[in-house]
Amino acid sequence: MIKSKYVVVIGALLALSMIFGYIEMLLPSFLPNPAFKIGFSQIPILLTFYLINLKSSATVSIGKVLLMSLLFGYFLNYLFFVNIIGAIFSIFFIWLSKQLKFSVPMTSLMSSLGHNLGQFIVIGYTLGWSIALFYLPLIIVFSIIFGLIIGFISKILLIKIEKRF
Amino acid sequence: MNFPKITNIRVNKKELLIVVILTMIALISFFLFRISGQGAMVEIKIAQKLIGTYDLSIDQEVPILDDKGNLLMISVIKDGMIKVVSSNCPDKICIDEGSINLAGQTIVCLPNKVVIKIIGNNDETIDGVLQ
Repeated sequence: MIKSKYVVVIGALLALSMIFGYIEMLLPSFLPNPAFKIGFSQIPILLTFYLINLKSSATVSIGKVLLMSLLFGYFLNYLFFVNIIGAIFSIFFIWLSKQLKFSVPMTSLMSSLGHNLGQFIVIGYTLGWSIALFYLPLIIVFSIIFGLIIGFISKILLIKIEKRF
Repeated sequence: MNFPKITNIRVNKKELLIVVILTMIALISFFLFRISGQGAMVEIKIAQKLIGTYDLSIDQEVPILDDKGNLLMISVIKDGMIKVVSSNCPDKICIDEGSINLAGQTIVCLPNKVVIKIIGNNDETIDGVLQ
């Protein structure tokens, strides 16, 4: 691909990720705690990782948090730091699964686990570890279930996209 | 033999191991931090600083103020349950969490750093053991 095509593809995937995040904010949550989300905005991030490279998926992931925080008015607030640490951890876990040569669903699981773990550490540090530890089993179980679901969706999309790319 | 290619489904051992370890951690922490019985008191903290404890059996309205005296949110205790009715945070997740009444349950409002936690009555559990 030529350089300008990279820019266009990354921009489109970033916009897609933000739209998924916004739609998820609008939908009512059916999970036991409304703070938990399925994480559809992770699909474009995984697509960026597999179609381009890790650096651009980090751009999409962190860019999404930055732009969403500017749009919804929590830029540089506490919520912003919770989200940005989650995004950084998620990218680190994607890098880790790349080193361990994991499959697409497992990479998705690891990225969702990293996202939650980053948020878990920030919340534990600021609001007390007993609160954070209470949510630990939920965090892990939902990371496994929804990480794998998102991973399989991404895998199907990757197979469809790579035929046309 | 005309068996379907079931042997073709290969599970990566490293991946399976990680999933199993994670499930174990989840199970262990679930049994360590599970919720129990009807709570007696509710304690409200902002960024780990205790703001106040309230009796769950008395119906009352509890406004939650920060250290500058600004109103962050209003919670209501009714019929032994507490819920948040209004909040100035952008996402309103604390309102969506609904009413809680069991010891160990929490309502967390991340933008305001507010934690509403129900604590059990220790005397009751001791009585239960003695009977």
